[in-house]
Order: sequence, then C-alpha cells, then structure tokens
Amino acid sequence: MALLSVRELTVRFGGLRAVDGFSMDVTAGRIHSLIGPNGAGKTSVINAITGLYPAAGSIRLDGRELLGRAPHAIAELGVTRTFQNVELFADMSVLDNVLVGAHRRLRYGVLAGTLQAGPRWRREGQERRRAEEILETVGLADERAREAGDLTFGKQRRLELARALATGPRLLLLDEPAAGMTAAEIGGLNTILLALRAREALTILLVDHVMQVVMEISDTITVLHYGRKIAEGSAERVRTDPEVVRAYLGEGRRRARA
Amino acid sequence: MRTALAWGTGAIVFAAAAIGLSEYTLYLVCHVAVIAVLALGLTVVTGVAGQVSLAQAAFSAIGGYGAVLLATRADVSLWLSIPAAAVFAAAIGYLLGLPALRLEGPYLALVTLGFTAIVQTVLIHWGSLTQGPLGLPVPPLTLAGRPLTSSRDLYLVIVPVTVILFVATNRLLRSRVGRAFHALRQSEVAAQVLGVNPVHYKTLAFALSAFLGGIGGGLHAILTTFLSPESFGIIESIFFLVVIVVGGVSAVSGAILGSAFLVLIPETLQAFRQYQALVYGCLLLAFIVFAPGGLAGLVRSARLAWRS
Repeated sequence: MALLSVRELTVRFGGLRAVDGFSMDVTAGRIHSLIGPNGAGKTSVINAITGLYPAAGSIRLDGRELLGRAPHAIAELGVTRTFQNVELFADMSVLDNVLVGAHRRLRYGVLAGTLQAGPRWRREGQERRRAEEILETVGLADERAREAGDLTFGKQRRLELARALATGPRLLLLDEPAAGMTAAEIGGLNTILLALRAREALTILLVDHVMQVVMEISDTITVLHYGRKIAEGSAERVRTDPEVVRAYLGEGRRRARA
Repeated sequence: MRTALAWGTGAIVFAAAAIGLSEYTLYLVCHVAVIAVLALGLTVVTGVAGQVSLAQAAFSAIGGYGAVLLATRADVSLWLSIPAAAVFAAAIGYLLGLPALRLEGPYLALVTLGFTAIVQTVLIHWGSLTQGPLGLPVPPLTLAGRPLTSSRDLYLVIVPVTVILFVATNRLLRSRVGRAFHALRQSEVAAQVLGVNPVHYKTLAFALSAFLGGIGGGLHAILTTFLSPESFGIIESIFFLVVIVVGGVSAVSGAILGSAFLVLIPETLQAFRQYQALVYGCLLLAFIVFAPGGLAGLVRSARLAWRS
C-alpha cells in the first residue's frame, strides 16, 4: 500500500521547471531511492514534500494532502528529513539536538516547563531516555554532552539522522545521507538504515549519488532526469534500462558496477 | 545535596547582607537586580531565540507606567498592579512579535527601535495620563499598612523576586520551549521540519521578554520612586543590549554579570558617566570581537582551564 503518493508534481523557479509533472508512489515499510544526474530535481521533490517549496500537483500521505501545509504541520503528520548540507543546531549539545527532534512528542508549554510539574512534563524524562537509546543506535552515545558543531562530519550526519528519528516519523526523507562519507562509514549507514526498516517498520525515501547506498539497500528506485521520471523499479531493472544509461552517459552504469 | 547546600549558603548571604550592608550598598544591589530582570527578557528573545529586539526600554515603560497608573487611578495595590501591567506588556510584546515572522536581523531591530520611539513619544505627549515630561511620582509599596521606602525594605522584596524569575527562566530555557528557541536561532529550516512552529515560538519569545521587561519596569519604578519619559528611550534600549552582550547573550547568568558590571563600574568611576555612550559603544565592539561569549563565557573557560 502506498504511504506517500505524488501526482503530477511541478516545481517552478521563474521560467524553469525543476520538477515537471512527476508522479511516484512510496510503499509503506520500504526503502525507496530517488536518483538522477545533478540538477535532475531530486532535492526539489524532497523540499516540496516537506513544505519548503511551493509546488503544484498533489502530494498525499495516507490520503491527506500535504501541499499547502506549513513545514512544521507536515512534521506533525510524521514526515521529517535530513539535509544535504547538514543543518544541525551547532551550539547545542548532541543530546539536546536529539531532544529538539522529540519536540512534537512532548506537549507541555511555558507553565509546565517552568514549574517542571504536571502530567505532560513527566514525559520529558521518558523522551530523554529514548533520545539516549537513539544515540546508542547511531553510535553516538559517548558524544551526548559534546557540542554538535564539534563533531566530525560523518558523526554530524549520523546526529542529523538521530534527530530525525527522535520525531518518531512515519516517513523519513534523507537528502544525500552518504555524501562526504568514507566507504566504511557508508557501510555503517547501510546497516543502520536496514535495521531501522526492519525494527521500526520505517518508510524511507532517499536521494543519493552514492551507488553503494542506493543499489545495496533500495527496494525500489525511481530515476529522475530534467524533472521527469524516466524509469522505476528494482536495482537490477533500473541499472539496465537503456534510457537511464543514456541519461547518465554511461557514467552511472560504470559507477553502479564498481 | 549540593543544590540544597548552595540554596542554604545563598539564604545566609542574603540575610547577612540585609543586616550588614549600608543603605547605599543595598540600593546598588537592588539596582543591579532590576537591570538584570530587564536584561533577562532580552536574553530570552535576542540571546536565545535570536530575534534582535530594541524594545526592552519600551516594555519597561509599559510595566512601570502601567503599574503606577493602575495604583493611582484605579486604586489597585502595587502588589497586583505590577504583575497586571507585566501581563499587559506581554500582550503588546506578542503583537510586536508578529512582524518578526517576516523580518530578520537589522530590519526587525529597526521595527523594535521604532516601537520604543513611539512609546516614548506617547509618554511625553499624553500629558493628561502621564504628566508628560514632568514625570510621575511613584507611590510606595506597602506591606500590612507600612510603606516600604528604605532600600533595606525594598531589598527584601526585589532580590527574592529576581531570584524566582531567574530560576523560572533558567528552567524554561532548559525545557522543550527553550530548546525550540535555541533551535530557531541556529537553523530555522531544521527546527521547522522537526515540528517547531516558528510563528508560535517567535511571538512567545517576544511576549516573555515583554513580561520580564514589564516586571522589571515595575520594580524599577518602586526603587527609583519617579517615572520620567526620558529614562525609556532608544539609548536605554541599546543599554540593555550592551548588558547582555557584555554578560553573555545565551546564558541567564550573562544578564546578572552584565548588569552588575554596567551598574557598578559607572558608580565607582565618575569619569565614565561623562562618556557613557562612547563607553557602551566600545564595550559592545570589544566584547563582540574578543569575547563573543561575554563575561559568562569567560567564566566558563576559566573554570575549564582550572579543572584541567
């Protein structure tokens, strides 16, 4: 069953159509990859889903229209993301970064926060323990007290993933999660993502250039070229699709095999 | 155990100071406390939530004038009229927060600066209510029929209120609400996709800063016993910005350290007063360039160096 259905999505920048009548279904509990050459419109699709870009067409999560909602309201429905250029809260501790992710799971306001009392305040402790567990999952438990800005780049990417997981998402969008990672770090990322799909029944839509991620863990791959979908299917089918090979000028094929 | 010890020591120091210190010294302590409460509001909205505000003197005026007018015209006790005026200031602060949703940095600073200028102009020209440039005398705070006029009496009221406000604000800034403020300052887009509503938290930060400004304005009124429009202008708003930059913008301790520094230094150095504006300017620049963490940041690094 499709958790997310994108229909006839169009994103315009002035006269340019970055995404042009694009449709796609993301099935619940799957890892779905969106690939394509530079400038194909992949990040624009993610920005439209998370409400950061205005767009035309339709994006439904479980039947509910996302287009026209504010980003925080879309997050409330259980859709969150990471960023290509890591957007951490650099001056906050690693643990506090994850706790901002728990924002929507906590409901207390100014009074309960000041008095540190009330039924809603009690969840603060639970969320703190949960945040610690999530840091354990991504291998950052020992870094919890450090400032996020002091982490190495690979660890910053994992922290961003932890922070997104803390929201308790139904759909997680990852914008180039492996960019700038070493081969060993990518292996670790793949293990984490596969474990998340298995354990939390998480649905993941990921955009990446790194074929080591896309080919190894994707259940379905959609190929975008100049804002249009040119192919969709399993890793094997997409890899041999003649139009995909042409779009990548053979480069994608070589990289895929490497 | 350690916190209990700290609170016990604090209580003893508080009582000993009330008995041992001179009227003048206690007045200075009260003055530092009042400025610290006013600056604390700015710590919340500017230091933590990242919305530059030059409206703190205006909120202080609304709190001070509001409390005194309620007390003299409507015969409301100052004990009630000060918090009531602060709540009113918070409502105005919420409204002032609305432009913050569209404006950033220098543009927002200009809007809040304009607000301060408007409030001061109203105070000067609405003579039938505020007595204009003549100023407004402040009736004393009374307890069980006895007026509290000495600095010693006021110390026993102002300092505990200040401590409560600082503890409460510190807790709030470490909670979900404070984390949302910090998050919005550092990356609004990331905060949004995690479910933080920027509209709600920006206006809330302004309302909280105005509430603290209102309480601070009320305390300032009973301490100085006289309100005059000239003490609520643009220079005063900039002064609060200097206080938190010198003290440290994102920690509540910065508001205390900064106000102690900026209240006590001119008291001891007479020459300072003549060149006040110049000294503020130089301090602002020096701290932004050489010690962006302010005095609170310097204390923290000194502590780290001591431990290692």
